[in-house]
Amino acid sequence: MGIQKRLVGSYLVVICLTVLILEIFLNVSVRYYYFHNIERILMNQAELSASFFQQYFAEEDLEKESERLLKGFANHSDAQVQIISSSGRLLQDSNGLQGDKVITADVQSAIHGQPGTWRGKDPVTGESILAVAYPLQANEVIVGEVRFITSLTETIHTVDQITILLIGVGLLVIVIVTILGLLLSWTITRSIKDLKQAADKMTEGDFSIRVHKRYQDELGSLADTLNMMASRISKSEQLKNDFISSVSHELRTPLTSIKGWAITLKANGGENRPLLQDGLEIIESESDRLTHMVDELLDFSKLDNGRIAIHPAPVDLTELLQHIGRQLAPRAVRQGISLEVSVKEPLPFIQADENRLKQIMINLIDNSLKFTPPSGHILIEAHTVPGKVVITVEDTGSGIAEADLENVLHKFYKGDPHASGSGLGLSISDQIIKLHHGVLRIDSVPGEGTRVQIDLPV
Amino acid sequence: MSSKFIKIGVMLTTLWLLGGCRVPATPIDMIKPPLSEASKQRYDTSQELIKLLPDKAQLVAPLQGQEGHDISFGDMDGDGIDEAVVVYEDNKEAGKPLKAALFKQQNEEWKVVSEIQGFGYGLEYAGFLDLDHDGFNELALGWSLGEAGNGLDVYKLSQDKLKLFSKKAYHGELNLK
Repeated sequence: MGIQKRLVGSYLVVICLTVLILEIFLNVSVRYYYFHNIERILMNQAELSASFFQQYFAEEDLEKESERLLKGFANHSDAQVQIISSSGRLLQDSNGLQGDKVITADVQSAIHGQPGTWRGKDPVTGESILAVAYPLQANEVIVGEVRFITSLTETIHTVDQITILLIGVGLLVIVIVTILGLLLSWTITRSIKDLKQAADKMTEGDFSIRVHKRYQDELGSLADTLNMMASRISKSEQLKNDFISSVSHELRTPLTSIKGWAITLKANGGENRPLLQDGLEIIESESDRLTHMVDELLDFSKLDNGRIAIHPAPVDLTELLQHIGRQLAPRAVRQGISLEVSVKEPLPFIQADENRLKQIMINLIDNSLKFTPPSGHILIEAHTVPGKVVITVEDTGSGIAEADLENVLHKFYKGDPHASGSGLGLSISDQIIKLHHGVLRIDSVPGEGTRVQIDLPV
Repeated sequence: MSSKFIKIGVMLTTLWLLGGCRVPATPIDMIKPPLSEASKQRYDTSQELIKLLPDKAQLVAPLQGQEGHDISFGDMDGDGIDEAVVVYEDNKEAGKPLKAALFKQQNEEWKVVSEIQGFGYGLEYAGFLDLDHDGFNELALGWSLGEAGNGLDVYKLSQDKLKLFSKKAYHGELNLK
């Protein structure tokens, strides 16, 4: 069963029950209110008449004075009033009826001293009537009774009208609630249908689809999430494609160079000794580049599968940084960049995987060298703060655009899709620092330089 | 949300129906003559006395005598200070039974001393008279049952309580002599 049906259905059940209970309650109340009050009023009038009779007219002869008494009894009442003798004979009637014997339940009851009421049909006209009889006592003896009779036609009519009105209102409420329920559920199901359609499209592989957000509600935020998911999937798809093409390109460049030199050396390497030397050197360095690249790819796939392991051992950071400085100094000199390692205080030994740390530092400095123009400056600095060691690599390079900054740690991401490299270096570094329970942070101002900070726990 | 309002509306209507519709007084009920100086004092006294009656009691003026005033004054115990009698319909009880209350003034303050039950549909007469010529006034109350006749109750005051002295029916004009 659909959400709409369920919502509207449950709404309807609840409101129908509520309306039904209210209707029953109201109708019973109205009925009781009218009939009970009419009976009570008649009973009061009868009682009042009877008590006056008992107080002041007890000495008089009921039958003889009945005409006068009737006028008094009927004085304040619109009802039909009768005076009945103790034997049940009709003495006087305000409607002018003559001497029949009355034998209804109320009269019988009053003859025996108990006020009685009776509801039924008039034997002649068939009209619904309510009669109240009250004993007339004179000196503790029942000498007759006074009887008040009202037609119920108008009461029944009024009560019926109110009942119809109440049922009408009840039905109106049900209709209004049903429409409201339909509208409400429509606003929900519409959003859900949109989401489902979009999700179906995405299942088919179309990630360009976007869900239209209708309301700022849970479904609206679900739509946002779905849209974001789709855009990320398309972006990572894009990254993957870029990665494959750039890696192929990266692998191809050294291979081309190696093959070129191999052909050259094969043709005339035997005679030209210096050429052979140069060629072999280039082949060697290009092979190194290839190896480095393949290592990176392997690292990455290991990281991705969570299979990478670090082997912590005490590391002398000062020594490590100096060593890396020395190692990369020639390249810096070649590019006309000043590379400075500044460790002003003795650093504690930390538990870390030395090779991995070296790999990270080389990667970071390599990045700086790549993006720093000649006569630029690269500063490697380390100091301690309570609980951790902070290593920074700062350059005066081209910097990273703000839009790229949050993505540079993502795998495959490259600021410039055509730049060389796999786009994995920083991602791998970040992962390794995380394995050391450290933090890698990058701040950058485009055009001014980049600062990478590594916090490692001691 | 709006179904909630409808429900509340229905509930209030129910309460209103069950509570009995108390329609405010109609304009015609509000017409009455402005106070004169003499009637002002009477009015003040009656306001004071009404406060001593049960809530929503309706004063009943006698049809005969007292020029249609709600309150009759007279000295019953012979102390020289007038007592007052007020007849009212008690709205609280079913059928609005008639009741009469006798007030006595003590230190400028009115107090209910005795209450008695009335009969019939209305008050025909209320007054203080010395009917048995014993020097003390009796309270005479004529209750009416329309054309059927009237009933006269005469009460004496004894130990600050009204005691029924005589009871009789009369027809037409009341003759107290």
